Amino acid sequence: MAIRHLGPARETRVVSDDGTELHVEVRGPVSGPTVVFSHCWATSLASWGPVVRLLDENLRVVLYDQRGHGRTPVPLTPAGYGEHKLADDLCAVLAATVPDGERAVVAGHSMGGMTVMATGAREVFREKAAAVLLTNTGCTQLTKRTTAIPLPKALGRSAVAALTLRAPLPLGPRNPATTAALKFIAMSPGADPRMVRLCARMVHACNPVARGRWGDMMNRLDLDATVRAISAPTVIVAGTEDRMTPPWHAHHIASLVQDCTEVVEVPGAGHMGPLEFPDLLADRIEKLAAEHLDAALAG
Amino acid sequence: MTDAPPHFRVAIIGSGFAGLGMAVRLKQAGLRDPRDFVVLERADDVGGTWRDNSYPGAACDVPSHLYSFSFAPNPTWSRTFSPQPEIFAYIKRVAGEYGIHEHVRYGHEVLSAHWEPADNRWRIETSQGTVTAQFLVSGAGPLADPALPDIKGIDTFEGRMFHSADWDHDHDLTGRRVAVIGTGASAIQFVPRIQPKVGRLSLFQRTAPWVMFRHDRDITRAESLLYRNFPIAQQIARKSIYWGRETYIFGFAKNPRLLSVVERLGRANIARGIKDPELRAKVTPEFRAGCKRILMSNDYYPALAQPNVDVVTDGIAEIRPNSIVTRDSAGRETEHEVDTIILGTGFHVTDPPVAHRIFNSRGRSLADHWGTDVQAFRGTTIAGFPNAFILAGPNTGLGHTSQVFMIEAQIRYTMEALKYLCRQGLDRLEVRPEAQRSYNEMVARSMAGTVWVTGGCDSWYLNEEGRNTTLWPTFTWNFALRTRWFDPHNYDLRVDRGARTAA
Repeated sequence: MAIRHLGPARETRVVSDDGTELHVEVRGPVSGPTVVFSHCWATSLASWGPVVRLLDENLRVVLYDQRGHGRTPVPLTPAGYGEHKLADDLCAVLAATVPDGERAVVAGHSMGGMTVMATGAREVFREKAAAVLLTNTGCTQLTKRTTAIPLPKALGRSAVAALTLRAPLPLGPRNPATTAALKFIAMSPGADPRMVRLCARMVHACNPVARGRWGDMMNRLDLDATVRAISAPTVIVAGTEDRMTPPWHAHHIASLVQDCTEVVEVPGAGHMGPLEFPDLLADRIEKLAAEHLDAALAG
Repeated sequence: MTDAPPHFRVAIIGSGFAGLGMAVRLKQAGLRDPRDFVVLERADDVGGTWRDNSYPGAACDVPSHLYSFSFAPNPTWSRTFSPQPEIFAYIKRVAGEYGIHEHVRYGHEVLSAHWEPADNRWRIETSQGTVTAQFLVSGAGPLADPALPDIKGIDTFEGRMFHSADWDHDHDLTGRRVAVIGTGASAIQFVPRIQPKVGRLSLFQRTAPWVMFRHDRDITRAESLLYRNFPIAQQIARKSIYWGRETYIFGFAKNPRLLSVVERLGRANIARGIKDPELRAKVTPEFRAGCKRILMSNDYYPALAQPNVDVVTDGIAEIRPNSIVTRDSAGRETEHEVDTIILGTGFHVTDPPVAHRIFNSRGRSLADHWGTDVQAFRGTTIAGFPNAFILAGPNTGLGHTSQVFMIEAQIRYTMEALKYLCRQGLDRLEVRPEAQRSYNEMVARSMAGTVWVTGGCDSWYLNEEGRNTTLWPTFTWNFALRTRWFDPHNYDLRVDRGARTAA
């Protein structure tokens, strides 16, 4: 398949509710059926790259950097973090990039999925989200359910996970050891080495303070109430080998949202869905766009 | 009661560093609902002094790592001494992250605040209606209101005239004959910026200030990277600047003779920027460095040496429709034709206008209550004015380091007091007059011998009787220790059941 969404993006700054300027990139046609992507923890909008490349050329693609990631500034204070801030940001992006009267498919990976779920009860989201795709994400019990720490549960696996999540430690230069550790935590054993390197590059580039503060938020995350408010048709994807958000989360979310159309378990896949199974995600997003945005796809 | 004005636990006047810092601490303490506290702001944005003073070249005299909130370090300052737009943006970001905007009533200028003992509350009239509050916190700083000089004929001037704190950005200065009155901290920052543009610049100087070399530079990418990745490194930088600046007190307050070193540096700065001996003599101060605020600029003296600049040291006799007239010591008058006057004449520091708007239970204003003897307890509370806290109040100003440090110390003290009242179920606090008196005697003792009262100058630090009512006379850690805990034994504390049931 041709690579259709490469080349320079239309870059804009969208001002969120509290004044934070979000870096937003719009690709594809100037108008048309829109897909909005929210990326995961400790990476940047580039983590959706492999999926975006595969998407149909008629789809308008909106990507943005979560605060503290990529080219969006790092908050100055702890008050700049929190699930409500993630929701504010997504609402601002939806309001700024999805034209009035139109709707979009909203896709979230990991913390991006949490962003979507935190936004569930917002008016802008109910108005603009035609369908939702969530991949490798969870809305509660994140440290309790994780298997990313190679310790027996009885030896405090969850506590160590909580500490690891919020540690604002700089990772230093990339080396084979950190890459191997990252691969163990985030990706499946069979992952493409190029994708592992891409993932490591993004994670090492992330600001450690922002990473730690967001990790701290995830330790305490409980979004069940707002997930229940999501009424748009929802597709949920999980990797069977995902250590950070095991498939339990996908089924838990499926039990909460009002209209879950499909839960997909991808055999042998780890946590970095957009890097590990981009074709499947692109396919599901195109289907959602075709069904709920009446998108005429070139195929 | 019908149509009762909205009531809050706390009302804050102003949203600069003081008002905003207070609002953030209240929010952190759990007052999250917009009905818990209100910030009354006369303008349409937060930022206070740093919003208003947008003149060209406006920047801070204190390194930014120190001149910022302790709870909001900014690893991305672009310069060691940040320019005004960056500080303004910083304040706005902090306000945004804490969601302070929900609490701020913009365009609400406080006209008066009356203490109503029967209801145990402050009744605050603003330009857009009345609010009541149990506690009043004034964050109206000393540099809030520009001071306009009282010069004969100033109303008859036909050209454009504005104060530097109210800069007219639409008025193009290119080729104009501009008069600048004043050579204080603002003037030395904007004069070098406007000098290349204007046709002719006449700088009217009453007293020459000491101007030091400013070690201003870009913060390198490496430093910024370090601060972003290791926040502790920025804390170390902040603390180093703090303690480095604290050593200035040895000169200012403990042994002013040490300041002759500063004077030598100042003279070297003059010698580097100015070649003409006559001009050098004009701009060389005749008082002890530090007596007036020490200024910092690298381009002020070179700008004065330019051919299109005159430094006028004769006193201004009057202003005419198209000129300023000066009179020299022999009584000869000179007329300087100008079409624009920029007032760099400072602010109402020793007579803050907010004091004319705060009234005790007998309807007497704080300004009348004070007279010329402006004083408070720990710079914050005032006998006769219950449940009120004045941030950046009397004797909390600084000549050597970050005002934000003092403001944060006062906010901490205010928070401790409020928490104490809450915990003990008390409704009213008022400092005992004897505690206030002995505190101010201590301040006065500490002030004796400092350069601010012995340096042989008349500065905006001093009131009409020559008493320094603005500056903190010793180390700032001393003040921080004094305001670290609330001291109930210095206060009259009361439960006001009557007011509780009435409300």
